[in-house]
Amino acid sequence: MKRRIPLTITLVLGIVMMIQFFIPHQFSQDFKNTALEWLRVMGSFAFIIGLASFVTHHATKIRHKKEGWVYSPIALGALVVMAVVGIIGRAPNMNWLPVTFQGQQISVFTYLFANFYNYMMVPLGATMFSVLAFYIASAAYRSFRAKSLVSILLLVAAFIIMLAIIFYNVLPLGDFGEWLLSVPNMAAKRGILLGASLGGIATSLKIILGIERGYIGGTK
Amino acid sequence: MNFWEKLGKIDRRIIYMVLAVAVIVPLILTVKLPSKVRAMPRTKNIFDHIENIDPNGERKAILLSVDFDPQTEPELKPQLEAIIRHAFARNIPLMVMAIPIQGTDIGLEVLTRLAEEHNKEYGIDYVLLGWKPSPVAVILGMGNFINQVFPTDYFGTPLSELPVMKGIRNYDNVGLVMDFTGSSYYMAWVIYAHTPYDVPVATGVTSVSVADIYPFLGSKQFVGMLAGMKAGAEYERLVKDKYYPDKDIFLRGTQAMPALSASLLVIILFVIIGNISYFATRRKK
Repeated sequence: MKRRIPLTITLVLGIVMMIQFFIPHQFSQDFKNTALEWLRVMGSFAFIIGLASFVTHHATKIRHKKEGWVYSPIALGALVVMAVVGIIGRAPNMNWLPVTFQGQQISVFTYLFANFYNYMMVPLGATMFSVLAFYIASAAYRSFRAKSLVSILLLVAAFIIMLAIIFYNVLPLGDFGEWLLSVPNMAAKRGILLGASLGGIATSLKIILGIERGYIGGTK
Repeated sequence: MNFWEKLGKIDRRIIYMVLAVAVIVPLILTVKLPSKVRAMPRTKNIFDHIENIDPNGERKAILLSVDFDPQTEPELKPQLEAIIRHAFARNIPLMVMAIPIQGTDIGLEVLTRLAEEHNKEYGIDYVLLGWKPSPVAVILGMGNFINQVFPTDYFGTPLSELPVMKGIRNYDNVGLVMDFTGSSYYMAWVIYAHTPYDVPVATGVTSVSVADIYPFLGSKQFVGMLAGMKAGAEYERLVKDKYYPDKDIFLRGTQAMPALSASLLVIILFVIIGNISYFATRRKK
């Protein structure tokens, strides 16, 4: 019964939603709107699951003193601080300890939330991503070798695209880079996309028909 | 170890140092670029499309979805700023939203700064809708009624009380949806906004995603694409040349292009060095 109910819901709703797409009747539209509202509500619950997973993961790490566990209290602390200032700051009619920010009177909690975001999360995130450029430069130098015909083609294409960005005012180079992207690249990408889409349709049908049951924890 | 072998085993710290210098020096020296820039067709298509949204005829808005976080901000923020400047210059009603929550703060910061620069007023010329979870439901839902998905704006004011939203109910009243993303949210906009509702959609993406977008450009599912910082710089120049030729405005993408070009040159140089070493030592073996 534990498996039959979700499988039945999936089968019925999967077929109904497919049919609904082709019926331009008000009843069909209302049904779709209700289903979308349900989807938004269920999407919100995903955050609760994510939160529980995050807390459990780090709590386990701390308890068993796993490698890198010292960062876990920082992660949990940051979660609590951001959640508290964010939730209190967004409460209706919240005007505790007002401060002036960008010409507006706002609560100190909103002010803290904006500053934590702008002056901690933004530079930290940007730094993490910037470091990638250094790794890419080093990795390209070590591994980007013209060892075969395929790697030579890849190397030449990469050089043209990079040079087209560098000298983006030099017309022929930019146009040739554009041709590479819009002809050979697009042909290959279309093939990949069509293959992936057909695979997606097949997997969806398998889920709707109850053949693929991984989402309910197994095949039995 | 001879010279050619050494050439193939340069310490990575030297590579890091050269790259750091290549990025920092052009930023400090603020290298001047040519005043006229030729925009790629995929960039120009978006500019032309916005030029043809008539604010005095059938009232149509531009919806911007800020679906990126601070990690990809250097590449995508110049694009976002250029499009907002264009919308403000043409007096087109502007709605800004986000699918991931980080986008709202980026959108708020850019909107606040540029609105001040262009004397635009919140609620009259533009609105920040905020964010909602579940992208598919949000994008599909806005096709029916925008205020059903976002009953209030980011600050809690009902949308019905904002003059900017007058006459704007759903995608029928949207002249362009533009998604700025460092991931693959653009797919959701094509599938769930353009396909069922036929609303024109364009995207601004990071350079690494460019190759993935071309099938959608070829099929005209995207009006155009802004590809990385380069496209941001191109669009900035298009807007400045047409609307602010004599105004001194900060062009974020244009300013950063020399640093990007220098870093790519360094990468090309090291790849060439690596290959010279590879062929020299291979012949010897």
